[in-house]
Amino acid sequence: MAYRNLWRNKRRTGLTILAMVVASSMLMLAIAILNGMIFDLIGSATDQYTGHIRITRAGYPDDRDFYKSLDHYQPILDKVDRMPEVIAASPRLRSFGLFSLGNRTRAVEIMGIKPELEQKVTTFSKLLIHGTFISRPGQVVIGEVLARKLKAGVGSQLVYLTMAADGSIGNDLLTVAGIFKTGSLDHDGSLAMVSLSWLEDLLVYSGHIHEIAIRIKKAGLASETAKKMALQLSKPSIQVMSWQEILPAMKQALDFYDIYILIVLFILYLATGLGIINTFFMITYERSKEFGLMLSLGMTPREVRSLMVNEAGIMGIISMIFGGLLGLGLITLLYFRGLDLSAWVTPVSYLGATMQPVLHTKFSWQGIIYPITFLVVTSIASAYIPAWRASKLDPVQALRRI
Amino acid sequence: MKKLIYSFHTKGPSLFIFFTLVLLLIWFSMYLSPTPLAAPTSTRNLSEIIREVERKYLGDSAEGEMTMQIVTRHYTRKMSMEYWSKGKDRFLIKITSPAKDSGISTLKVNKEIWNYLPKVDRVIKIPTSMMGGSWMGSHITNDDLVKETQVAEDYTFKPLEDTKSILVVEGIPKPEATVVWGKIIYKILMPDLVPLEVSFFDEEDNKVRIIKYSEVKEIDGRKIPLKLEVLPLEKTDESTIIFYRNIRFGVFFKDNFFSLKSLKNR
Repeated sequence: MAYRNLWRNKRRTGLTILAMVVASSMLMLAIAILNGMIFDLIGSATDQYTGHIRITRAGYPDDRDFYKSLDHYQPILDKVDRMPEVIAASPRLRSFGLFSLGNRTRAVEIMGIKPELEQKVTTFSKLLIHGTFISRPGQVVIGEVLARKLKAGVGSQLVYLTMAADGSIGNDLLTVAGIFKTGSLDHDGSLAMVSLSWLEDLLVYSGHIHEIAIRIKKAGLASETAKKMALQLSKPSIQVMSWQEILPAMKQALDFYDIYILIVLFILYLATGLGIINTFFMITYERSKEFGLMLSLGMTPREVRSLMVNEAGIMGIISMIFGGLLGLGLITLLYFRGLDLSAWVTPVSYLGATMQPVLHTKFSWQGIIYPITFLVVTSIASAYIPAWRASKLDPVQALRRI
Repeated sequence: MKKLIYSFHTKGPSLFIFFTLVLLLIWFSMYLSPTPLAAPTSTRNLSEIIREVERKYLGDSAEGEMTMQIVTRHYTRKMSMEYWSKGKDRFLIKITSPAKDSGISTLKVNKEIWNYLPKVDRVIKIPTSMMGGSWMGSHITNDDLVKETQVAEDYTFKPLEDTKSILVVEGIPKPEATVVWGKIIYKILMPDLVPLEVSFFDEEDNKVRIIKYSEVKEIDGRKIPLKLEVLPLEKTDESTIIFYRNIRFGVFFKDNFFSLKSLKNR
């Protein structure tokens, strides 16, 4: 009877279901976009440069002393690579020095890397605006701001001048292979990448690196994975840090952001719930005559109540299905297309991470299941109050109403 | 009387020479030791003294050779160099050994420092941001090369101790001067203006570096310490020692000697 009742007034039922579908799918979309923003933020902070986990010699992160290096790092690299959580690990050697082109000189930090490994850990190779990533010794990729200051382009020959590990003066030429743009002034203005073997030779520091940057499957679990890694490596002379430790300010910002999202979600849920309750109140009011008739025909108040709750439940389930589908569809669409706000917002660089003005969604099961469950529960609960009122109607009074 | 005259004539030459010598000595001594008679050092211009001390090795024009021994925790190096200087603003150093670094030259003109790298055949200007960096891996900074001759202009001085033989001067940077040190204390041997020890303090008044001078020799009328030790105090096991050799003053240089072109060709 509840089901048949629903289709007696198709427009009313349809509107109610539509309202619930739209509300729930928008809720899902909002969650997915907020998720996506967090994901992008972590992503740009870690994928671009830091990596999810970093292994260094103990104490190196504090003073970045050139001589606090990791030697014999191959066994560490092998052990890390064998861990199921790890996607890739990239050894890096760092050096401070000068780049010079013509009469322009800039202080830079150079990172010696193995291009094939670095590309699996960070996204530098995808952020090139000119040229290609380094493929052989003697090539360099530099940031866009640095390139502008040096007036260098792809193919320019830069002199690199630094102090080698033995105190001698390291100097050699590098050819610019590509120019990257990360949006972070620090990186774009003073960072460069060359092949590890070239830098080892220049610095007379073969077999030494300063850090291993690691990408893992679940960035959110970096702390746990880092602890596990430290246990497996079990050497007091090395230090394993997760991105939460490397970028404590970023972690704080994200914690704060989590609270912010919680508040936003609370408001969204509240608004959705109130909308549904409102709809059901309207329905009961509209149908009070009908309920009065049913009661006077001998239906018990309990039967009227369950009839209304059932109606709400069925509508809830129908909207759950359609809402879920619509929400999923929108999330998928925005996942691939992105919501481009670049006309209004410029990229925001914050704590070494860069927020691009294109919003992408990030799918999560919680982001789907919670809203639709909430939808059904709210619709049934919000039907309960008017249903209870309806069952308490005085049939005579109700019938008299026009 | 005759005896006396005789004796004067016989012993005369020796006595005459003796008296003459005594007279000469008295006369000379007035010129040989003018300092004790001159005005006390406290009233003399201390900036002038410091300028004189800082330019000890340079003079108006000079050339010479030096060996630099660098000891750090991570490496020990010995380098040989030749240098040329003119006035307070021009300075050229060329590394002659070890072979790997041979030919690398540093040119200082006014407040700029340029390095020539023969391996890549390029000249690089050291930017101001790198002035605090180590020069050739030693405990001397690029800034030392530039500012050494600037100290007299950038600091105000007051005497801490002023005896006949030792003068201790404290230098505090002028408020408008952009300098690295918070305080410099000079210990100078008087009256020859030979530096003995210079202590460098950071802004928190911690002594961070000492330069000790020793093996004083006289060259072309100047008293010059041939050994210079740079001792960073936070790294007690590290040092840079410089020995000077074959110093010559009053060398004539062509106008374009201290130029980028000659930096390459030298």
